[in-house]
Amino acid sequence: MLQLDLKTNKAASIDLLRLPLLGGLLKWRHARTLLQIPLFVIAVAMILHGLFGPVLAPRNLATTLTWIHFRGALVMVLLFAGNFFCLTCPFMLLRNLTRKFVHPVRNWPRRLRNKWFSISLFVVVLFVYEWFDLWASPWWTAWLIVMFFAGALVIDSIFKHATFCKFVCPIGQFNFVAATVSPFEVAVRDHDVCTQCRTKDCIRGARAPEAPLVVIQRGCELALFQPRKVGNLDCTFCLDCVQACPYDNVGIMSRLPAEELVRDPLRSGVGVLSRRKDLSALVVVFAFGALLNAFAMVSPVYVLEQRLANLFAVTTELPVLAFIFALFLIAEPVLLLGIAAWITRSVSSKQRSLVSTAARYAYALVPLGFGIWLAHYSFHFLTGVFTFIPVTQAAVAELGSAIVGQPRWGLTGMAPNVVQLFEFGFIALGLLGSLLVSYSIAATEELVHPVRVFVPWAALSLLLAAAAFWVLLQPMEMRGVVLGSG
Amino acid sequence: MMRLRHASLIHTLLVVLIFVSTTRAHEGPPYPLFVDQFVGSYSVSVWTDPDVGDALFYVILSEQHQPLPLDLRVQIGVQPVSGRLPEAFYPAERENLPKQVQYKAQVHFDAAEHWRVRVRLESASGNAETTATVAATPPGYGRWDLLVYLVPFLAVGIVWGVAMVRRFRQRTGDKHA
Repeated sequence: MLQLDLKTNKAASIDLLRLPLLGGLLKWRHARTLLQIPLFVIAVAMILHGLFGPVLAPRNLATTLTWIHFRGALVMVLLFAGNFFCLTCPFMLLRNLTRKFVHPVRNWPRRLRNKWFSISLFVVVLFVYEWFDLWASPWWTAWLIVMFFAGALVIDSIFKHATFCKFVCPIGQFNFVAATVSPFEVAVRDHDVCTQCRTKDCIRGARAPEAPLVVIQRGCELALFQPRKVGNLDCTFCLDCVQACPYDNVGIMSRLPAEELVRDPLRSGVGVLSRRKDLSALVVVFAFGALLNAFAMVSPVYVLEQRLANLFAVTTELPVLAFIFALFLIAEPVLLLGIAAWITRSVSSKQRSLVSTAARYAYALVPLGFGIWLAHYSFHFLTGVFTFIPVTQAAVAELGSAIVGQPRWGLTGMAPNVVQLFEFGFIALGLLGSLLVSYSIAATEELVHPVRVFVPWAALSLLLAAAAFWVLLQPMEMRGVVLGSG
Repeated sequence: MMRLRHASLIHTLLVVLIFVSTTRAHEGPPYPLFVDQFVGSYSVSVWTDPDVGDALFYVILSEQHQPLPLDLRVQIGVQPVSGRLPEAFYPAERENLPKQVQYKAQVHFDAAEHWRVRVRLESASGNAETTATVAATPPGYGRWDLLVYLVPFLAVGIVWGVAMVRRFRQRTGDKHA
C-alpha cells in the first residue's frame, strides 16, 4: 500500500523546489537565513515598539503585526502552501547563530519526549492571551515575543537537536497540526533512490569525506527519516534534508490535503498516530481551542463571564477564565468525544478502549479546527490587512523622520460583511474535511458497518461547526484592528 | 495526474477567491475620521463605520492633564452637508473596555452622501465639540453576492471531496473488493 502511494506521489506531484526562481531560492544553502533576517528585524522592531511605543494597541507595531498580520499570514500560508513559517522562524536565527559557539551535549529528558509539555504551553498561551488582554497590550505582547526568543535560545543551548521546535514551541505545535491540511509536504521524490542510499545523510547529516565524524551539513534535527516520513507532523520545513541529500532526492511536493490524517502507518519520528495519545490530545486542544479562542472574541463571552463571576461571587477574572477554559478544553471534549467513542465502541466490531477509540478518531477534527482558526484569524487579517502601513508610518514619525509620510489612518482592509462570507466558507470547508476524514477512518477501520461508526463522529463535527457558525453570527469585537475592545 | 489537476484547481480557485473581492467598492471596517485631536481638555479619536442605514461611531477619549469627568456625556450629531435634513443627535454609550475609554453611538444615514458629523462632549466641568465630514457608503451585499462569494468554496469542497473519495477507493480498493 505504501509503495502504491509513493509511486502515485512520484508521478503526479508538483515539486516547489523544481519551479523556476522559487525552487532555486529555496534550495540555496543560505535561503533560510535570508528569509529569517527580515522577520528577525521586524520582530526586534515589534519588541522595541511594544516596550517603548504607544500604549494604544491599534497604533503599536507589536500588537498590530502580531495579532492581525502574523496570525493571519500564518494560517493563509498553511492553507495555500505548508509550514513555511517554521522555515522562516526568526527565533531560530538567533538560536542557529548561538549554536555556532555553543554545542549542547544533553538530550531532552526521555519522559518529556512527547507533546504533553507543549500542549500545556499552548493552553497557557491561549489563557494568557485572554487573561492579559494581549491583543490590547503592546507591552505584554512584546514580552511574549521576548520569551519565545529566550525559550528557543535557552532550550536549544542546553539540549541537542531541535528540542525547542519538536517538544516545546506552542506555535510549532499549532503549525504541525494545521499543516496536515496543507497542500504541500517535504517528501522524497523517488523512493528507489533511497533504497540504494547507504549514507542516510538526510537524517545523519552530510559528513566531510576526509573526516567522517565532522558534520558539514546537518540532517533532520527532528528525527524525521525521509524515506519513512509521512506527512507534515513535526516537520519544520527547515530543508536541512534537502541540503543534506547527496542525490537531490527531497522536494516540497503537492499532495491531497488532510489525507495523511486518514492513514495510520508507522511514521518516522512520530510513531503510529493512533497510539500517540499526546498527539491526539494536541489535536483536541487545537480543535476545541479554536472554538474557545473565537468565542472569546464575541460579545456574549462578557455576559458569560459576568454571570460566572456572580455565580462564584468573585470579582477577579482569573477564576472565571480558568473555569471557562476548563469547561471548553477539558469537560466539553471529554464529554463529547467520550459519547462519540462510546457509541463507536458499541457498534464496532473492534475491541478498543474508549480512550483508544477517541484517540484514533480525534484526528478527524483537524480540518474543522483549522477551518475555525482560519475563519477567526482571516477575519482580523483581511479586515485590517493595510493597517500596518499607518502604524509603521506613525512609528517612523515618532523617530522624527518623515520619510514614509504622515500616517494614513484610513487604510484598513476588506469589509467585515465580505470577510464574514469567507469565514462561513472556511468553516464549511473544514466541516467537509472533517466529515471526509472521519468517514475514511471509519471505512478503513470498519469493514462491516463503517456508516454506523461514522455517524457519531459526523454528529460531533456538525455540532462543533454549528457552534462555530453561531459564534460567527455574534457581534464581533474588532480587537486590535481599530478599537481594541474586549 | 489527478492530484496535479486537483491541486492546481484548488489553488487557482482560492487565489481567485481572495482577490476577487478587492475589486469591489471599499467599505471596510471602522476607520478613523480623526486621531488624537484636541477638543477642549480632551484628546479625541473618532472611528466610524458609516453604512447607509445604521452607522457606527466610536469615540475614544484620553485625558490630557486630569482624569475624565465621571458625568461625561458624548453625543454624535449628523446632518447632510446639503442641509436637506435638520441635524439629529444620538447619544453615545460608554463601553467598559480595558485600558481604554470608548463611547459607541449608532446613528442613521438615510442616503449615500456626505454628512457633517458633530462630536459633542458635555460634563459639569465644561462642554466641547468638534466637527468632521464623512461619506456614507452602501451597506453591502445581497443574496446574489452571497452566492457569488460562496461558489468558489463550494467548488473547492466538491473537488476536494471527489479527490478524497477517489484516493480512498484507490487505497482501500483491495480491502473492500
